Amino acid sequence: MRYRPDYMKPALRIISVIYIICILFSISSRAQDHGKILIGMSAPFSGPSRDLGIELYNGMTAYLDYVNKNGGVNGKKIELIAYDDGYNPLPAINNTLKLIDQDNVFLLVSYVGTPTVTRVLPVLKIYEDKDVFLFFPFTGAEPQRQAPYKDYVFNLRPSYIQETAGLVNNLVKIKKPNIAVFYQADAYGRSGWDGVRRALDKHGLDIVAEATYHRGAEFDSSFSEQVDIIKRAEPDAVISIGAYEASAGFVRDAREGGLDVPIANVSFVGSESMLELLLQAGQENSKDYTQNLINSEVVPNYLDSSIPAVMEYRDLMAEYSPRMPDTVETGNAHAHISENKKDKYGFVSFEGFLNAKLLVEALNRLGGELDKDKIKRTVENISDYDIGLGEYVSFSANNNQGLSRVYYNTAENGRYVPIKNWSIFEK
Amino acid sequence: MSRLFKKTLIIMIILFGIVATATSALSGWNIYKGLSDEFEAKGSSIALSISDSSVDMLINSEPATLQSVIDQYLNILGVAYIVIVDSTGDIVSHTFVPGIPDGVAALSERLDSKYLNSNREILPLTYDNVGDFLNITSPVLGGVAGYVMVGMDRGIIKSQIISIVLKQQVLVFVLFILTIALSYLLIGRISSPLNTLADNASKLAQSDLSDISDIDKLSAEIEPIAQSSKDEIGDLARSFVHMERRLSESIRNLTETVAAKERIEGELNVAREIQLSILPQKFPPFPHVKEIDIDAKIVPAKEVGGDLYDFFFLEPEGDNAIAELIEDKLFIVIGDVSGKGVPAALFMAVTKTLIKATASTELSPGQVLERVNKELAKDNDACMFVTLFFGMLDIHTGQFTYCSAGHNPPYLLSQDGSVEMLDKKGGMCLGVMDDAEYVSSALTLKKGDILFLYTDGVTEAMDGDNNQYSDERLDELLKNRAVSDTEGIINYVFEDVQKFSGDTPQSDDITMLALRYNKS
Repeated sequence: MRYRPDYMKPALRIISVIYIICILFSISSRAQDHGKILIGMSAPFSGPSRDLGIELYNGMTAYLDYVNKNGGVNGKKIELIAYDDGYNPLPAINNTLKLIDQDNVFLLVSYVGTPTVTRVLPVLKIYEDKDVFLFFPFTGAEPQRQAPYKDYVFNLRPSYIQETAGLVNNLVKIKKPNIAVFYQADAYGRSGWDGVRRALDKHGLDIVAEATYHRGAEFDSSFSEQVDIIKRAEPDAVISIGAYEASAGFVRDAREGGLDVPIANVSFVGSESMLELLLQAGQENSKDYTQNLINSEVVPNYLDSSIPAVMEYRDLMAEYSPRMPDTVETGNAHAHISENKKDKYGFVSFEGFLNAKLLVEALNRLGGELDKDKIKRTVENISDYDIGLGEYVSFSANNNQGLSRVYYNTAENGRYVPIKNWSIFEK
Repeated sequence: MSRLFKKTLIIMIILFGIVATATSALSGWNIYKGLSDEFEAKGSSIALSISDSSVDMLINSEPATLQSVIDQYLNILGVAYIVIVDSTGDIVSHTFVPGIPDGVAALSERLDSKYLNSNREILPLTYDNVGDFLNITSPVLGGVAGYVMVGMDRGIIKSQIISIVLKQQVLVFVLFILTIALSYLLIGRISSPLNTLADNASKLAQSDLSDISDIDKLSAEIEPIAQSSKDEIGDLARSFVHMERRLSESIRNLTETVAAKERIEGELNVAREIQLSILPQKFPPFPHVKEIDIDAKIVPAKEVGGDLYDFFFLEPEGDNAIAELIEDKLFIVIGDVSGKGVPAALFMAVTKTLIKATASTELSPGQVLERVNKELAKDNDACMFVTLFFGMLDIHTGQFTYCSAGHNPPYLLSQDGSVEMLDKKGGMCLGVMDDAEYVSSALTLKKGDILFLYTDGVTEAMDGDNNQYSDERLDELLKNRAVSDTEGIINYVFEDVQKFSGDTPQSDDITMLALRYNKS
């Protein structure tokens, strides 16, 4: 078992390191122009959800490196400053304040997590006159899609409501109306729970059972209590709104507890990380925990070479070597690039790549002046932009979400494949 | 450990137990009261603040935002859970992991739009396996928009009580240990001289007290305590020293007394030896004189009295020293000298010698006693006197003349069984008045008659109840006699006297003399 201490300790240490680095760099980086566009990111690079931050970061930097190598945007290189928040609200708020006040970033991008982003939104409102926008947070929660905060955020990915509605509709369609929810006890879990509830409500159904877990729960924790609660209701399927360690732990304990119904996870889970944990545990226990898994994704399967964006992403990733943000203490046991991944492709880094690609497009459209006042108008004017997915990206004054399509995958032979026919879960 | 300390320890344990229990109970109650009130106030204000701030979110149906709002309150100490119920009674946000307890679900179900309670409601709740809570329900927009339920963890109150009471117990325990140590030292200072005294006393008890130097040694051991301590222990030690000194003194006195007593007893033995050596001890004294049988017995008391008896034939006078005794007239004497011990024995010896020297066939017994009396009364500074019976028997005729100088009259026991007391007349006891007169009496003995002479040691012998044997009892005894020999009659009487006295120590000499006349 790897050493994973309480998240606060590394977080505090990292904050102090960040603070020193900030002082060192504040003089040189204060000027926004001089050939650089500073963009800021706060994401987990430590703790049980660190894979999300790391992959998202690498998906972005793979594209940004490519752009910078080819002359940047309007002659300016893009520099991504990323801080670790360990998937916790308070560090996320502190990171945001630092990025805005000290690093003087042009915009914020690719924040990870609902509980973190939900708490950062008021900060954006307070800095309204500075025109600080959050681009493409890695969360499908509603607060940044609704008033009063939707004016400060641009989303690329579909919402959890869309993801869960798709899952519910498909499950109901294959006559699995009794759906239970396993979710993280925070704003993220509540978002997914709410999505499931709304979708079921449209069918005149209700959630049959619900169980929660504490954010930060690790794979090694026991989830048998949650399994018991859900199993009592004899559901046809379970929708899991969690992070990969807890979701994998739940799947393991559900299968051990005889709960063999389909378990569906949403995009935030970090599908590859979850699958890795399940494969590892399956190997140790000589069991197959990967049966009957459904994952909803907000990007297409990165193995689908018929999609131009996938090809572009894979080409870039092939040349790219993953790294950690230089603000994060490397060599730290819990802040490293997951070394047990089969390959460097994944849904999360693919999303990071798409985030970066759309961001670069927006910056290109903004022109050389980098006028903050024009950011909102510029992005809202993007309509029918072909990002390479076959689905066009469109924003408007009323719509701050670029994509809407949800993709469904299932685990097969240790990797994800698109679900072509939902009837495979009918039995 | 001294027993004194053990007792003190037990008392202290009890006292500290009472103190610990009382303080624990008091502070436990205080903490409970204080924290309960605080938790109620805290929970109420949290519920109020959430219900005030969540109106828009409830109306706009934003569970995720509600969730992030209520999550912040979970960091406040004592807040166990927060539940937000919408206007239809559905729980739209909560903080339970792993699931909503049934009790809370039941509580929320009644909170639909019909419930419409605009007041805050505070309920203590207990959920099995979850804990003890104070559930505070606060309406949002008077209940129209929904309700907020805040659960305050009363288990924290318990654990706070336990932790504070524990700390207090540790303090009490430390104080207890300190007090024990202090009292151990103090009591040691008190009890070590006490122990020395106790040891001293038990050594005293075990010593055989025969050696005064041992006791003196013991008192010397505690002398320092007696001198150095000014308190009660000093008093006690001084009493000990005093007592041991008195004891030593007493034993010394006792030893001296015993020595003196031994000396006196030695003196008494001398007196007894004088008495016994001076009285004839050979029986029968005159085996060739068939006319008479004589027997006598003297049983001296522990402190020798001055009883005497004698019987003799006159020795021839002049140069005919080797001539035979003049065996015609037998003289018999029995007497009792006043007083005891050596003086009495000496007086007795003198009396006996005088009687023997004075006795003569020419003189009547009265005349003999008159002469003896004169001699005894002369120079009798000690004012001693003697009662005496003196008689002379003509062994051929049976003529018996006699005189009693204040002595118990003898009995004449006839062959036919009758008992007769001899004439009492005679004179007063010898040695009192030098010119006293003595009158003789006479009688004739027949064959088989026995004269029984005795001293008041017989009739005045005491039993355990201080009753005297008495003349009447002797009279009766002799009348009922079944023996007719001298030795038999003496033993007969003596056995009865012994039987009468039992274990009572003999206070006076018992002397008896029996004379049987055998000639017809």
